Amino acid sequence: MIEVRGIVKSFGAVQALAGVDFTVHRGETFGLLGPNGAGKTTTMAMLAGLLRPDRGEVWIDGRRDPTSPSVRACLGIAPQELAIYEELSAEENLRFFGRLHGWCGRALAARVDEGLAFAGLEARRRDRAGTFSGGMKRRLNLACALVHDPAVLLCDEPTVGVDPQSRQHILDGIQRLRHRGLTLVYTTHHLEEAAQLCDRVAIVDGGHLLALDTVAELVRRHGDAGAQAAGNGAAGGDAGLHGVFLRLTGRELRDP
Amino acid sequence: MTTTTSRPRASSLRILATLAGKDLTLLSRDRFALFWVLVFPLFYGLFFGSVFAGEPTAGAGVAPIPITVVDRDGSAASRRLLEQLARHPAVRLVGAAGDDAARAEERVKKGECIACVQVPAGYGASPLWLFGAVAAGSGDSAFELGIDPTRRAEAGLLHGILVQTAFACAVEQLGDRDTVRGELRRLQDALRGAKELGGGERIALQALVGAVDRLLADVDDAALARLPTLVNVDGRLRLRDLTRPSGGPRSSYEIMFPSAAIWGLMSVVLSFAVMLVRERTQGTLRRLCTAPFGPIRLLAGKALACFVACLLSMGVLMAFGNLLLSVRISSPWLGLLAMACTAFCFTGLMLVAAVLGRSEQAVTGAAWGVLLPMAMIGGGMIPLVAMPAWLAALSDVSPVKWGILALEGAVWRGFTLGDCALPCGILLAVGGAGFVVATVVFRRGQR
Repeated sequence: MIEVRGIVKSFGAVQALAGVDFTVHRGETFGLLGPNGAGKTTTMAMLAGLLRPDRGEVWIDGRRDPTSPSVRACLGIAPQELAIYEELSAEENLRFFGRLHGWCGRALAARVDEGLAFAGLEARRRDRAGTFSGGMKRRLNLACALVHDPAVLLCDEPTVGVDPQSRQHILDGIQRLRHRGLTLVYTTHHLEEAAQLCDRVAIVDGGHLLALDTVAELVRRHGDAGAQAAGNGAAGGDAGLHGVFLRLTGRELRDP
Repeated sequence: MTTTTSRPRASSLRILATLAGKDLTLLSRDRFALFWVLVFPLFYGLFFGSVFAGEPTAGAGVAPIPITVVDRDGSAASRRLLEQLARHPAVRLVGAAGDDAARAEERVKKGECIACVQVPAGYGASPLWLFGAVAAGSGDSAFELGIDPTRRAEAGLLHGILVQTAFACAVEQLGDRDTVRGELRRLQDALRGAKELGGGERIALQALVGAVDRLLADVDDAALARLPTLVNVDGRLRLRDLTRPSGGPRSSYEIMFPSAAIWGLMSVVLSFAVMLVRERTQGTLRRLCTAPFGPIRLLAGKALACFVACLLSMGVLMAFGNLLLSVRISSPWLGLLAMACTAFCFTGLMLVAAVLGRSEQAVTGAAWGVLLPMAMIGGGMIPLVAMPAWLAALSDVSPVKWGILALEGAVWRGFTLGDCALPCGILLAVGGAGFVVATVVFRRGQR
């Protein structure tokens, strides 16, 4: 579904990506992990067609140009920022983004209702998004990415800064999307989320792809050293992934 | 959420309408922006229209000249003269009739009136005084016109009014048989004593005066009463207005409302430019940029919303002025054309401001930094009709000037379609250039 071939991107003297390759299969949930400044958001921006690589190619659904309208029509993006209009109500936000993708009439109304249910905001549908809590805004942000029924969803840290209830609601919703066959690319700093949701994860740092495999395989391959790196002796699941992550990316702080 | 296999596609028109509708909704929910876009221009037009409301404008009639008078003669003839002067439509008498010269001159110095007319002693002694006949004891007397030096331009007008009134009064007195015959007798006496005349000249003049005296003795009263109408100077002069068909601005509101409209447009520009930057900082622009249409349509949607808001701002202002303050739209079609071209120009400026700045502060600062000087030299602060020549020449570089000119053309300048071509052409060119620059910069920023 998604094929990334040797993408390189620099911003002035800073090389954000230094030749990254990976493939995301149809219906797969793909985790993109890495410390701050590793190149996750740059990679996501290239998948969304917001940035052009200096070198390399991005193929989505058999088409090379992610900026073509047919590719964009099947892409949904939930950016790290809360990309919603605070002056509009939850319903108006969903209706606006649905219309931009060509939905109208009853079909649009049905999509909007589904989006509100997905975000758990049916009771607040007419309230302005500006009056919502952080968790509600985050849920609405995700629903707006889904209102036009995309085949691929790019989620950039969708659970950052939300309360446990909202977080669980978002994770449950993503699980349902997985089961329905949506292709998901997911970035997060919560490694237990990646372990719980992702079929495969890629760990990037300094613009390089350090590892790519299933969580179980990564833990098996880097297990003992990873557990020691994590300092808890755990060998599997999110604790194991935590150890693998620290072993591959190191312990030093990543202040920009 | 469920997934479907069929994927709808939106037409360009639908995309533009959706984007514009969203931006207009956002604008309608921003009370501060609404104030600047819709209410502030009204305040501006009302305030400055009221400030300049007392000033005479072309076609609005001329305010009478305030003067004061001093009657040094105190005769029936001088009182009659002052009565006639008070009735003249071009002057207004200020102060009491019994003012002395010092008090009257003080009124001029204090600015209560612009001139002081003094009727000399001896004026009423002879109806022929105006023509140089000097009665015994009146000396070498003359009217005295004391004028405020800053209003010297009106001195000539006042001089004419005074001579006209005095002449009318003299002619009126010539209709009084007894008064004139008394004057003729006095003239006969003077001729008898005039040593500078030769014998032949004296006899001829005495015969002439005697003949006039006999004529006056024999003529009937009706013929004498017609005398003033036979000497009708006013009837030999016709005044005709040669102003344009629209008659110029009828009120100061007609001058100030086009300027006020420009302030509304500047507020629209600022609101929409900031809105685009806010989209960038909030992340909604990122989402819009991943929708299935290109950056040109995205900017076009923004531009459409801005264009509609510009029309709305101008439309509300002009409708208010038309309904409540009699601000005319001499040609509704030219008015619409002028508003559309001006809105297009400011939409282009908005796009440039929006794509150049990366933060709200940067855009606000840059927009005001460009728009305020444009308004200063373009007629947004000083009406075009009141500009000194050097500023009028400089104003050509400001799109604000062409916007105001186009609007004034439809309001009171009485423009034809041909007259509108230049300002509208410039406005369209500036707007188009703005759209091109904004598109190039925006696309470059997306890479």
